[in-house]
Amino acid sequence: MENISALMDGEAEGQDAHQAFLRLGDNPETRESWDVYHLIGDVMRGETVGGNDVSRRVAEALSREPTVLAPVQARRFGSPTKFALSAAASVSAVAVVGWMAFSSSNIANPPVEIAQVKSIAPARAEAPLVSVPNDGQMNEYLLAHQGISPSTSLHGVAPYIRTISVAPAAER
Amino acid sequence: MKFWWIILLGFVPGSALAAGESREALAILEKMAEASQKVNYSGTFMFQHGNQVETSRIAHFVNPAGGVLERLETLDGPAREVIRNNDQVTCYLPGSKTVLIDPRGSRQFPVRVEQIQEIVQHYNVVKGGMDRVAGMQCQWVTLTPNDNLRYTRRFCAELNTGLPLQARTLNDKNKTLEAFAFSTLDIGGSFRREMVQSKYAAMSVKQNWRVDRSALSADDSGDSGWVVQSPPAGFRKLMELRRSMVGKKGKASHLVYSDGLAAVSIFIEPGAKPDQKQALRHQGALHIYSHVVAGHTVTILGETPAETVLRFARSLEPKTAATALR
Repeated sequence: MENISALMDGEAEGQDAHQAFLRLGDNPETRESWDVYHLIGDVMRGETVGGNDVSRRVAEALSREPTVLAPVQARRFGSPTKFALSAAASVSAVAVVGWMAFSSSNIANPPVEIAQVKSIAPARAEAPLVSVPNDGQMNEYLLAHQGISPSTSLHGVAPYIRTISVAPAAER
Repeated sequence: MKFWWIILLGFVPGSALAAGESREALAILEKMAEASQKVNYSGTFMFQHGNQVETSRIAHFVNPAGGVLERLETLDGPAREVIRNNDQVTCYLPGSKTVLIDPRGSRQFPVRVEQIQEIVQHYNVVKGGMDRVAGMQCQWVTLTPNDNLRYTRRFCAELNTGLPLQARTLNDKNKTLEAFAFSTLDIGGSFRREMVQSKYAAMSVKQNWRVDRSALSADDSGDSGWVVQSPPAGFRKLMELRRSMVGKKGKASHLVYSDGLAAVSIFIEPGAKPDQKQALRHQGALHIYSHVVAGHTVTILGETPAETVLRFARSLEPKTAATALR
């Protein structure tokens, strides 16, 4: 494990690196850690994640670019293992916040935190949940809602302006 | 005048004054709630949501036998018209040659006295200063929520009738999300049919405009098959029914929750588009969240912060799953 870490960080050199690589090929467990570290590194750098073919992609990338092991190259992104650890830490921290948001009924959490859980999770890359202006859509729901809202009883028909409001872009 | 109040403040114990102030503020709210059921009015108003400001003409007549007759016509941008009579709301959209009809219009929930008691539990109701809107004197009342699940509401109620001449909805950063204000207003006029008659009704028939009509199910049994396990604090279920929606095939379940002032609607429709993603939208003080649950498209909207709408989303379950858990 330490060897893999050193290899990832570009700290293993010469004979050590060679030995580590040999072990990487033999031992499925070390191979897995290697894959996981790379996966986390990729995610943290915002590179696209291909899903299950990580080991194949890593192998391909390695065969094309052995320089990936050069210390300079590795330091460009800092230490991938540090990435891995901090990534794991922030993922779990966000998960805790997310869990609190889901389970608590008294503490309000802005929806942005939930969005972060989704944007970090590498398994399903989903767009973060950011509120977008409603440009003259959802009128059928607005119409049905307006009829029951107490604000309609305060302002009469006036709130229906929402229902029939036209987005500036959609103006004829 | 201001000094007079300060002197008075010095003599009244704090708590008693607060209770008195709040009682007075509540009386204004009650009067305001009754105004739309009692007062005839016509005029022009501005409605601002986000960066958009629209001016409209409105006429509102109370039928002594019950119900109201109203007409709203936009004066800016594309022409649009809304007619509300006792049992339905009809929207005419000449631009797209469309007519939208919602029969629920009359069965709304007026703000009642008991509802005002409910409001007090979640909002701090404070009487504010005097103001002048559309040439009339009005009294400000501010409702500040106790939590961040609802917005601050400010109303300036006309002194004699209680009609809200100006209203604002503000978020927790004191930013105005929606504002409503009369610019011209005539209160107490007698009924004039031409003021609530549609400009487009005859044209829409002659030109064969598309008519989208929603309807309520005959079996208003009140069981949607869905349940909100723990609604956000202060929100109570007002109704639960099955309905058809404008421009949509099939039936939808419609659940309505309210804290007395803000309302949240939950629409559940069977089926979902394969590419349906969760989406959060806003329009003025409204938030609209849509996503897919157990093969159903769920749309939740309310005049609340996004968090409130999202809490409803997290808490909504099909009843079968809910009972299986027990």
